[in-house]
Amino acid sequence: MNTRYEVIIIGAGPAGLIAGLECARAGLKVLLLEKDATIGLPLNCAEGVPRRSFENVITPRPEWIKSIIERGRLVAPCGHHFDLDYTRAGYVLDRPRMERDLAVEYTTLGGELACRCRAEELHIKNKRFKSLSIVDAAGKKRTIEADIFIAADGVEGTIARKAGLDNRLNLKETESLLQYRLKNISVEPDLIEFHLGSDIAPRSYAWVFPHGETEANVGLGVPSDINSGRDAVYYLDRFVARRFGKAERGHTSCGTCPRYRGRNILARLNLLVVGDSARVLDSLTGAGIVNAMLSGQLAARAALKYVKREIATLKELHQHYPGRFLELKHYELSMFLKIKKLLVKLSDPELDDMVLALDEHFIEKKVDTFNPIAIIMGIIKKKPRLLKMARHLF
Amino acid sequence: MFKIDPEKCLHCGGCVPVCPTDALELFEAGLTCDEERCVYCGDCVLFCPVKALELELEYQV
Repeated sequence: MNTRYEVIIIGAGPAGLIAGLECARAGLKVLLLEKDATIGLPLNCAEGVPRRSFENVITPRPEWIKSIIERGRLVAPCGHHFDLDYTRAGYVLDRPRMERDLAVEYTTLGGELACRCRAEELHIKNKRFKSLSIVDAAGKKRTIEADIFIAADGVEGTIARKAGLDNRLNLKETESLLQYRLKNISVEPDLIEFHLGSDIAPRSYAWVFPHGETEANVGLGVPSDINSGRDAVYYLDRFVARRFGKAERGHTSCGTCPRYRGRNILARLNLLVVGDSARVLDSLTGAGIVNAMLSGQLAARAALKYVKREIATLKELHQHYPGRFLELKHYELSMFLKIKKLLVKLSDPELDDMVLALDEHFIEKKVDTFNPIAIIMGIIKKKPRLLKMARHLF
Repeated sequence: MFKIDPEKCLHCGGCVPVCPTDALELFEAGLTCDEERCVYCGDCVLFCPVKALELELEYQV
């Protein structure tokens, strides 16, 4: 490890790896730090991605894809469900495999990867972050300098917080997510399921994501402050028993989906924050992989211009990142957050109404694009009872 | 006393930003709590989806 790099990236998840790849491809002197010993683990993720936006960021290798999703099923609290066909809508990934492959590609391109290295704190000099103190794999404290830093340290978001960006989560707005990988079960490998209802996953939903032919990622969320003794374990065990009967359980995942917070926590000086640490997840579905990768990619492109002195001021840097990312994603992420805030307020009969309205909305039961915002608008017009939803959206 | 069950903790890191006083940190070896900072609010305990965290309050009369 050297004492100086052009770019230092903290965290080798999807966001950090894509940022690293982008930098290494451009020939930058880049260091990617990872606190854990293994790339891709621990895995706390449902591994689903929408195909189009994923493929806009990267061309997936066949080995990364466990299931190709072509149908979605929404199940109302009353049990009524409807299915929607959507050819090649998305993928369920083998995320550890993808991340290991990306790490290999990154190092092959000349990027430096340091595992079991813990980033401690950024240090400021002359109104720029100048260096980062770390503890290396041997337990030795070091200080490394760089022109620009990218924080991709996941939901913890510790680096950004220590740098003065308040990305703390309020427990009242936080969900506790739990998921089991179920094995030796019969699943339809192209179908993802979403189950709604206060009895299944209060103020959230349960999901079934097929992982190949005989396995699935099955999970749900509950409000973290539920405080009734009925926690995520209680609800998930019950959901699994009802939906699958006795099922063999593999890997357990847990975590949370931080709500989108807008521009303020995405950059400070020459520190760019990406991925879950930037809270750029889709608050409605909890999907975070693609936005993590896209933010990593755009931050790295901004970093490249900054390092090559194509842009000189921090203002210009921030126009590239987060500016460019927000141009693409802010409206969508804000709308998803509003819809999420709305959905948590709906009672079971209202959720039933919503599912029925969706069922009527999709007469053909077939789509080739999916715009949740347009759909919500469509059903609000049809179901005056749901009009109160619209009030909260605009 | 703040207790972390390393067998149960899956290193998801979700409790770390939930902590209002930044007392929690996730290392490769596991989660740690800086009891100098901890105010025993219990938010992390409520959050933990796998019940790996526990607060034991000791009362002295």
